Amino acid sequence: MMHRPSRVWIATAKNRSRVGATEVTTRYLVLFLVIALGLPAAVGSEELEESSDSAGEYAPGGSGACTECHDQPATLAILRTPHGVKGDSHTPFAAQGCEACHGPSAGHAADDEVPVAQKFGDDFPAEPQDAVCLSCHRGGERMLWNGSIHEARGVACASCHNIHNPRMDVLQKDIRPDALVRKDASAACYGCHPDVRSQTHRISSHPIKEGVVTCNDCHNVHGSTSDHLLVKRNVNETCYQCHAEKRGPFLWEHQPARDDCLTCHASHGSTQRALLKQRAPWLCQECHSLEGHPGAAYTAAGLPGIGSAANNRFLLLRSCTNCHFEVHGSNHPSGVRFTR
Amino acid sequence: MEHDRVHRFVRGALGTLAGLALALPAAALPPEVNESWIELGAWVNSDDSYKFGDFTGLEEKGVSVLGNFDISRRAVWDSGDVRWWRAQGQNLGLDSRFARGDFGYQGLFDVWFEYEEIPKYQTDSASTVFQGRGTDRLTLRPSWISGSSTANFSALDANERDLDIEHMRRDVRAGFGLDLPADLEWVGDYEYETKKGRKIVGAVIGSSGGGARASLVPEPLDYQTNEGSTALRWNGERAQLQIGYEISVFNDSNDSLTWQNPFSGGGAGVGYPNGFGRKATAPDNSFNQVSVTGGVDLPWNTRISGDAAFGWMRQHADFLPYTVNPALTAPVPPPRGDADAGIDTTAATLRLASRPIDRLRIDANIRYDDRDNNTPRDVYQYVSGDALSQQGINSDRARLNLPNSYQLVEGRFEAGYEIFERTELSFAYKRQEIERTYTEVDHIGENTYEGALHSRPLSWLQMRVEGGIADRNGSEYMYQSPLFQGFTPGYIGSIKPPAPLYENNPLLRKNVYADRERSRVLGRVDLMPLDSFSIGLDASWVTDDYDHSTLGLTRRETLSSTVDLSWSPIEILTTYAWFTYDNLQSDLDGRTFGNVAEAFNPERDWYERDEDHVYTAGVGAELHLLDDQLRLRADYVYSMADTAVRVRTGPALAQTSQNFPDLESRLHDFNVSAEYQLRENIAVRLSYLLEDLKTGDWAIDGVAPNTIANVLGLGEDSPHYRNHLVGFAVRYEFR
Repeated sequence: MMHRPSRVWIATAKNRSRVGATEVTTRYLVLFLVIALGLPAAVGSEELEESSDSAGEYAPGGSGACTECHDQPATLAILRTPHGVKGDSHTPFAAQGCEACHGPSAGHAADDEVPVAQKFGDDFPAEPQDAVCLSCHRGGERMLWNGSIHEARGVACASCHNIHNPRMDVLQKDIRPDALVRKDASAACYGCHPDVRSQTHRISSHPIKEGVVTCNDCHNVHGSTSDHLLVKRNVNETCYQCHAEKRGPFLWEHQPARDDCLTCHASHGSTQRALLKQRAPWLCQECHSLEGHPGAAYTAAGLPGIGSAANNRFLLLRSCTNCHFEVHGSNHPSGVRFTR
Repeated sequence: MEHDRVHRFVRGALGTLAGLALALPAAALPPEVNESWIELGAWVNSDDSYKFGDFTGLEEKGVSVLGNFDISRRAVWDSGDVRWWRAQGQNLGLDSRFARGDFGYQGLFDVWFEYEEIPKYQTDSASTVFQGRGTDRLTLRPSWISGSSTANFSALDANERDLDIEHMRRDVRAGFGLDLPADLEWVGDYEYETKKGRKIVGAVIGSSGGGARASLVPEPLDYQTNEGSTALRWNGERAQLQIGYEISVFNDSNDSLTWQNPFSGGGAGVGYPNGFGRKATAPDNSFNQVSVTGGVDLPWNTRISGDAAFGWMRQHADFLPYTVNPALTAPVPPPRGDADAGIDTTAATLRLASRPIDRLRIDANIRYDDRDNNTPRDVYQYVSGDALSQQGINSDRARLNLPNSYQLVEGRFEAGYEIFERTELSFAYKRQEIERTYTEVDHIGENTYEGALHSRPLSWLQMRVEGGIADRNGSEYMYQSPLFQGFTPGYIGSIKPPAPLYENNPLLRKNVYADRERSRVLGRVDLMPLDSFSIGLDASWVTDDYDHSTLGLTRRETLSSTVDLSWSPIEILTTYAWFTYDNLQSDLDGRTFGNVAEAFNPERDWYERDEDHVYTAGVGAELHLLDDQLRLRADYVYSMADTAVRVRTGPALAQTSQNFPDLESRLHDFNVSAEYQLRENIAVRLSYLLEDLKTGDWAIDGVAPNTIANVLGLGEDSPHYRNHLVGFAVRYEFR
């Protein structure tokens, strides 16, 4: 029996799923709000460990006073890093040593019940610890840190970086001896961006899990001028770093491609080939509805062995791009329809 | 093939030796502080698979050299010696090798050099009847038997030859940083990249109306890209400034691809054997940009920062002729010798970030992004598909190019206040206005309202919930714009009823500038009830509704949810597990029509829903035994994706509604490794990787080169493989 849907049926079905999703989302939203607002008020927010406000005196003996107790290899490893080079006048260890970052902590050196002046990590307020790092590292890629999304969300420098670690592995194309063939230097970002991790395992993706592309190849996590913390000033300029052949400009522009690569592509991963958000012909039909084949309905009746083969060429192989291949733009004088 | 394997192994061995040579000078330096190791061994790969080798270089069965190293030298911290040196290399025995060297006098200068190879394997299950693959001219063998349809290609099997589609990127990069007096710093870098190989393109001869005949053919890739940037920075205590310049120059060694038409018919000089088609490849282009970026700290914990950049894209590749077919007439040449294409870009941002009083945060941002396309606009009396002679200037084959320009102005304001200790409530408003030229909508405005609650009430509990709505509206949708702006006045004047005075259906709304309502919600909870145990819960939902669009994309929705666990029950054991579910949906409304009456007949509508369900999970553990002498590790990732495409047709359409077979992919990725510390500075490692991928795509599976009547295909298959990879290595650590 032929199914003859009406627009009402389709609209109802869409609305049904829309209502369902909205209801579920609203419930989660309310739950989060109740917990987030109620819990601090109910239990009283726990006094998270604060740094000391001791009087601003440096410990006698400098770093030697610190390492009497803090002599763990992981702590002393800072002396094998750029921050530990005394011969460079810019480094903490050319100045007050440990206290150059952790602040004057004579009180703590005398009595370990007194907290050190400045601690680092997610357990402590971001702004004062960031101020320490930014006192030296404010320029270059960090000029736009203030007001950037990570800064606004309270992500501290020490959330991702550990300057005691000689490797400073985070987000650098670095080599780990336990990496098999592949290394995933982007793993540090997945803690807050788990959706990206799953996208990198889709059938079409940038080589992120292979370690060839890392997050900071496209994103400046310290702040940038564009949406999504891109390294360049817009999406297309970021993509042209590796795909310069798409830059043009072309004689015949394909306007959505000139506008924004993400009109058609999903940059982290997709279930469709070539990182496309949707497959042709339907991707193309979002914007093309002309008389004849561009606007026609393509159902599974067009697949081999099922029905008429008349529409095979619009569904199979590369679909629209079997003919209209130059969808990023064409520079051929006869290329107005992107066939040349 | 055997010769290729040996060649690759030798290349790998030489690459390893070359990389290690980079490390030797460091080894010869006197003992100093270092974190260094060299690893040598072998990979044994069980099977050929282009997809397994994609980006990794492990596409062939057999043995490859395993070579990695990381050697660095730095003097004892208080020696006064500021020299440092680092050399890294990975996958030296594979075609995905990477090597880098750094050297510097800390506080004075540093220089670095990098080399990288990135292999891309698209398919090895394809075949082609064309000779000359890898060149810019493809021809058919004398034994070729033509026809008006692929069903007539009786010599197809005899003429098919295997075709691998792959390419290799090779990058050479170098850079420097120089510390100058007065808080100045000068940095620069340069990259030279080549991309060589082949890609698949669709190549059509003929024009629409039933005459088009296409072939999927290999197009040569021979790209070179030179990129460089430099910046002078002043890093003051309260203010910073950077003046920068960057350049990118792209070259394609091929300017076109010519192919012989395998199909017969189509008019003089169109069909086999004399018919050829010719398409342009990527034109050479360049981009230059100067920029200035700066920031200044003001009182009241306030900072103003900004950026301005001026750039210019240029493209002057010579035009090809309208047609390669000498039998066609094209008396009117192109109006110019090249497009003289250019886009001038202007980007500027001004940002205010202030924490004027305790607990209050204010962020404001203004952004401007302008792309002024000044490519000259002319009439091109083109030849359609190398098959139809040039038509007159008042025909539908005389077109004007549309150099789209774009201008964005955006302002965003956000304020956050700590309503409780470590609990911030924030609100944001953004206004965005975009203007475009030569599009259906000149101007778009969007208001976005966002709210967020971020709380860390306890040291072991952190929560965040964000939400936002955005409402986008545009100026009048000028559905006739592509017609009126893309065709000559003479042609437009010749259009008489019942012929339509539009290109796209007047009811279509292109989603790029259609009115839209966007809703977004995100929630996240992180719990660490114990030092050894943590849980993360994450969920996000975004939906775009195009309720004013009768035709076109009407809705897109994305839902993602994740659970993350990590547990270290005892000091020597760490474990983790994670699971993500993604659901992506899009709804498209279309209409099949062949005349004006049908264009407005809703019974000719069709509806397409595309829905992805993607499940991805990972679990792993790392165990240290024998006082860290033995280190065991296991990781497993499973990814399952199903894509359902459903199309329903309205009552007036002849086609029955049928569901497409689901598109499926299943990936299992399991690897274990054991590393044993033989001596203080020597460790041996044995590793095993099993990767199993199964995919299905009805668009290519079982589609023979002659399945489609007027498209000659490649007979390729969806990727699937099961590979076992064993690795053995010895690591020497410099201590």
